[in-house]
Amino acid sequence: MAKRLITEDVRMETDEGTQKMTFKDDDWTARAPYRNCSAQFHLTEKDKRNAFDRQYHSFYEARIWATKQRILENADRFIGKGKYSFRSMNDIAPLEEVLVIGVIVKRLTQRPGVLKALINEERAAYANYDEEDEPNTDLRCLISDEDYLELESDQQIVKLAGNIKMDDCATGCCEEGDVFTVKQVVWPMQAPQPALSANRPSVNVAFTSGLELTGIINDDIKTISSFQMLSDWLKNDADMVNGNERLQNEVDRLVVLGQSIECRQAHDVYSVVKMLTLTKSEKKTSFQALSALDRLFCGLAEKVQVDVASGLGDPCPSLYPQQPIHRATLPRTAHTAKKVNLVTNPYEFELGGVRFLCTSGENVSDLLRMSLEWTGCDVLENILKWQHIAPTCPDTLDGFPMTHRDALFMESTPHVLICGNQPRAESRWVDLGEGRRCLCICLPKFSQSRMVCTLDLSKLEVNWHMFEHDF
Amino acid sequence: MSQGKRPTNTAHFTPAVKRKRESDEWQEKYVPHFEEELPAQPTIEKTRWRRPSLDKELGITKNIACQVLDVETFHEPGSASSVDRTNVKLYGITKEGNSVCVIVHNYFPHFYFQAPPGFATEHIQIAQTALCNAIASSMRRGGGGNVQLSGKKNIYFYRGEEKKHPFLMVTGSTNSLNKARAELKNGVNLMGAGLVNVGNLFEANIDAEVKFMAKTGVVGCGWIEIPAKKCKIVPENLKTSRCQMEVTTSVQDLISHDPEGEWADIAPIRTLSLDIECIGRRGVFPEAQEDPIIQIANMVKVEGEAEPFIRNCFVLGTCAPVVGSSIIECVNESVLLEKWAEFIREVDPDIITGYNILNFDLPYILDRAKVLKLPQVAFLGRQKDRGSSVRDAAISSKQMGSRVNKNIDVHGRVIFDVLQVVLRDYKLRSYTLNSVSYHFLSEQKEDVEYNIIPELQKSSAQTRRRLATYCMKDAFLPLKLLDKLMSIINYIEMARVTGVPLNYLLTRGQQIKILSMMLRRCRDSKFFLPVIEVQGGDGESYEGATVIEPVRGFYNEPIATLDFASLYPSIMIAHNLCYTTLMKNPIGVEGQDYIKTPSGQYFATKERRPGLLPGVLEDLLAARKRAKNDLKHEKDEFRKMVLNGRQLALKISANSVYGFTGATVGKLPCLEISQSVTAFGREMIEMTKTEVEKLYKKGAMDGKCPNDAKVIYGDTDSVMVKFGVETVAQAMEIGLHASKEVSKIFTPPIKLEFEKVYFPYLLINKKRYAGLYFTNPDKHDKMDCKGLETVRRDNCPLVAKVLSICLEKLLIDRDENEALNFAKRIIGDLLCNRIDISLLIISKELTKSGDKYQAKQAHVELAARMRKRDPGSAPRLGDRVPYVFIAAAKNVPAYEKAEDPTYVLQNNIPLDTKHYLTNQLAKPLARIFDPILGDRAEKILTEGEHTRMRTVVQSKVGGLAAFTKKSATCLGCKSVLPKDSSSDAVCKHCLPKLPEIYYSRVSTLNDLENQFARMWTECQNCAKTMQDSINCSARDCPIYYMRDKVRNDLTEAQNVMERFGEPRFV
Repeated sequence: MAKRLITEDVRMETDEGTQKMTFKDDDWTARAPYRNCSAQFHLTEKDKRNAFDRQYHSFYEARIWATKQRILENADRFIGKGKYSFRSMNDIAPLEEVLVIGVIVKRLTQRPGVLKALINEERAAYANYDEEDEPNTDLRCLISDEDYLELESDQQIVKLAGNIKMDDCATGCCEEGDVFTVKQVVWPMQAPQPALSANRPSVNVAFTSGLELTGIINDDIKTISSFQMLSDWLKNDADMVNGNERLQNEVDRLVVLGQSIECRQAHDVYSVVKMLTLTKSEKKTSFQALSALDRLFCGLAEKVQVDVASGLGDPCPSLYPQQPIHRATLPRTAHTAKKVNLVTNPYEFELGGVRFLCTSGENVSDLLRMSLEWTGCDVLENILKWQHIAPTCPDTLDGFPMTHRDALFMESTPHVLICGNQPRAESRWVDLGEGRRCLCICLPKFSQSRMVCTLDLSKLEVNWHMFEHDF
Repeated sequence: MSQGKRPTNTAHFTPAVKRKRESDEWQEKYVPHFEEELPAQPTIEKTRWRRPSLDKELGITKNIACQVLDVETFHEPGSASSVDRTNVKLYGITKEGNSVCVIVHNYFPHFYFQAPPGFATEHIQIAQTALCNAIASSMRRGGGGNVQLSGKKNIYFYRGEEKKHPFLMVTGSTNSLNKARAELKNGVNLMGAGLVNVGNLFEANIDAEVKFMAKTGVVGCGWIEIPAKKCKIVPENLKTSRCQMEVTTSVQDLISHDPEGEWADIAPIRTLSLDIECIGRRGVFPEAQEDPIIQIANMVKVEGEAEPFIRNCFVLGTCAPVVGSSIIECVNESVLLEKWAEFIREVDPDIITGYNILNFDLPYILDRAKVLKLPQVAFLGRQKDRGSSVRDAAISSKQMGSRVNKNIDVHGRVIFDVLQVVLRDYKLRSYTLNSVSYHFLSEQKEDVEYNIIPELQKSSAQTRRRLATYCMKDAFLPLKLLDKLMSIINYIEMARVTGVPLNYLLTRGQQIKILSMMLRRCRDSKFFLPVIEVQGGDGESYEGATVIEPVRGFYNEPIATLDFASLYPSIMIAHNLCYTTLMKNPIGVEGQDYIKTPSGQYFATKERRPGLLPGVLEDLLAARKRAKNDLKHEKDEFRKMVLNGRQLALKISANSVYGFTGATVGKLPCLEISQSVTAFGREMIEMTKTEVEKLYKKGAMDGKCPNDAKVIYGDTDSVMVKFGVETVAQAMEIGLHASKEVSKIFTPPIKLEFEKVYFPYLLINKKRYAGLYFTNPDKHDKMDCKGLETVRRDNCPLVAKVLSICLEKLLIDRDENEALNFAKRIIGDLLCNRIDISLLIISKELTKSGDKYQAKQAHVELAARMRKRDPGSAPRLGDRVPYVFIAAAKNVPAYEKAEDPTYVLQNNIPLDTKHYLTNQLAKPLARIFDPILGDRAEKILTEGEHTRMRTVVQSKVGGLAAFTKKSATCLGCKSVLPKDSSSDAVCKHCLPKLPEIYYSRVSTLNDLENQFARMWTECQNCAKTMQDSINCSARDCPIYYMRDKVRNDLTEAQNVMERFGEPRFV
């Protein structure tokens, strides 16, 4: 318990360049310096003022405004400077080849909607009642043959066809009629990636997500005991814990990526309708889960520095970008305050010169519903391409009604991109060109897989560890 | 446009003086001028407008075949060498999509009358001269009339072999026939022996078009063919129509094809959908005298194709382009209207559609054209020399009640107003375009509040563009609705089955359809139809269908239903009930020559004379069987739709024959027939009951019947039987057996059919029941509810919702306790104000201003109050006024408790939940629980434990609101916080419970956040724009109030959360 690095949370207001660090123990060597870089994910006073009088359109305006310059930069690179004409959709002639910037909308006929749910409910009542004839049992998939892409720009909406598949911006040539044939899609220029320093500390950082405590003892008992094993192992006391060997280098930090409490309000619209009409059932059990969580974190904080990012179901606002879990809900942990770091979702930080961008995974899960072909890592790769953490927010992912800025647009490119709460564990290196790379990792839910991922900062190697408690 | 979508609007407010001044001010402010920005004439891209060019050989070497869409007659004055004629114009479309006008010569309308006694062949010449003179003198010039003897018979009564009365047929032009009718009434010297008065005429009151079609065999929307050599092509400069081709032919050369095989196809008909926008002044419904049209959007589609091929919008002033649609910018309203009329003439649509265009858009355009003195605009039809005009036409029918519609004759084109179609065919809560599209397409449009239209119009080219996109959407939705409902195809098939022109189906009642079918039959069997003077008053009434007194209760066992297939038509066929077989007095032997019906009438048997109506019905039923059979084997989707439309049309027609005979104000009433039909029906229901209960006693069918069968209910054409079995499969077996056995006691083709089993079955009262509907033993098809408050419009949506969930729990889950608990919980929620306000809104249409209602009505009083608050946004005549009941002092009458839901939301006004419980929920709920709980049901529901807890909201206005001051309270225990710590979340004592308190608050917050995000993105998706704000004010929309409520609630919840302070550890 002696050698521990204490980092001070760098407040969002602080200058990007400064790094404030204090070492409790001077004899500690080669520990990784830490910096929280999540400033853009914090809601400011300006964001919050009269937020709910707004509609979502300014979110998209901000998105276009934020991406425009970077798209033009990329257009210069890929099409060539001066070789395209950038125009407003209002004044283009048929058959002209132009560059337009706009938001691509994927029109899904199966998009869940409050209205549809309401009408289905009404239909069920007296017309053709089809029992259990739900259209799609595979909830993941919302796509159907009738879907199409549209581009909205300068208040004009056109259908897209041609060389295009999914989200943000496009060059097109205007065909006669109302269909736009896309020739080439230009995504925004990649945000700068800080140089990866050559001598990185040889420490490990561990990631986990999705404890999904329910507050019902029988359901939680296995998760809790597995998690306790994990914390024993993190402490690096014993040589072997549950078949996991002691790591060569110590684990410096554990990052918990959201959904620590089971999300009861499943992310479908049907529940919205039911909720509007029916009485809410009491939520006592979930509160039990909260105190279990408090105990777990409290126990952990004795052993390792913990970052807790929020996620769906956690006691915090649920709109993206999610604000941290509130300290009021973790009274025990509050005593070890400095060692448990409550952070936003998404969460961006720098550790030992390596830049991490983490989310609790809602953005990826939502995008997975848009295509049958993608895996979690494909989505992460796309996110890098689109330069946007959650393009489907606010449309199908609940988002905070932002104005003037799009908090989810990527301001810098991380070295490691991680998302939690995925069905499968997956990791891959993505080549970004010009010698730059990014490591994409999908974390499974701990409640289902008991898996934890560690990353050695010096080698940037991913290791998976399982903690299954056998009774 | 939004203000045009009110089904009926005839009256207006008339505070004339004040409005005059407002309008002057408005003229200056709201009508911007564009002379400097726009040229006097817009340049218009017209390439797609024209129809395909004509085949040069058509009519010369090739026969002309076309589908007839409209028929009209016109008068051709006689000359020295010819008499006056009534010619017929048929407007049709060829398979290639060319429009053709066929002028048919040598057709003479006719009527009949009975020759006076003693009339013989030699009198014909005398009669002819006398009649011609009489006509000529009244018309003051030569008019033709031709008299012939006819061997036909009166359709009424069978008189056995009595001596034949000669009948005289008079032919001539429509005009001269009218004169002849009048003269005959006054008396004409027919036999050279003094004036003879002829009162009873035959077939004189039937439309010339229908008579022509019946005579030539042409059916509405059927195909005709004119042989190439037998027609004359009218050269371009002499054409009277705007069709691509105009030909003349003689009536003898016209070939009419039955809609079978190749001739069952539908030509590439052009359908144009339109919508107009006009500026209204504050609080006044737009009036054509004053308020200009600013936009007209058009969509043109070919029947059978998926997308419209023309989308455009005529706009007053400059307007930013819309990709995929052409925007035609017009410098002023006159140019706009003239260019639009030119567009219509050029595109040459066959069907003009839209939403409420019949009563709003088209009359408005025509009225504006008059005000602006633009005579050319009225020429929208295919007739070169006849413009369109608007008339009021009253239509009354048993099916729809009476209403006044406008009638616009657009010669050669059919006005197919979607609102009229929906009004005729569907019963809905609301008939606004928005809610109709929501209901059928699960799609809505952004409903723009009319207040902001002037704002959008005067601002900029961008805002006008926005208006244009709304307008085009309003024009597009009717097309989508027609597609979805397959209305055009179904109506075309109906026209083919009944033989009347397409537009009759929408502008006329049910009778003309039957009349047309009768007329066709009569032509073949040499009968004719008398003119019956319509008797005022209600006329005779007769006993209707019978119901077997229901044995009420909740049956948790299978109940089999035995139905008579097409009951009334088959009774008429079986017993040969017809005008032609009705006997005044029985002649011959009962049972052999005649029968006596249970109601005491006499009808000749089939052997004496086969009836006309049974013939019509047999044909209809056989044709339906054929169509259904073809439908089974057809592969092509489009033809499937056509066939399905046909079998529906045949079914409806067959069933309406009975009603036709019973309509006392109709063309051919014959109560003897309808009385006999219902009497037979009643008798048969009773017979079925007796027979079933006799045959299926305990142990019958080799012991397959475990108990005595009991008929628990019967109505009109179905009987519900409790066989006392346990499974659906058993009930089905016995039911099937019973349908075969019991059918034997009836005269064919009357047949009992076994269709379905209800299990369980909740029999509440006569015509009120619910049950789970099984047609196969394994899985139920649906939940069937009859006569329950699930669709009634004068209830709030909560009633329907609760009722249907309770029924689901009762019938599907078969859990009585759960259903009751649910109902109790809802009542508890209601009393604690937890029910969403949108579920409590009742809406009524404001049809006349306040003082014209006899009693004070809630919505009228509310409209008046809202007008005082803000005249601009207050509801106007024709609007539906949504309201909720708010809490008030005792003895305040109900009509004063109505309040605008938006106002209630904004000011947090408490609702009168008790009123909702006792006046809305209690009765319907008690009804469905009565069979289970007995008479205590209502008491249990309204006075139980669950009603003890009530929550009262603090209003922000009125009462004590002005005097109360808010002070911070603890979020845990609600105790007032001391001043120095008033910004804290909880008091000292609640501090240990802080996590719990926070957690429950954050859960509420999360729910609200989720709702907020789902609702507003739903609106974005509905409006199909992500980057523009949403201006929708569709009060019919189920989420309109929810989304405002969630806004307020969420802001409040967020403020509460702020009191917990910074989330991270500090």
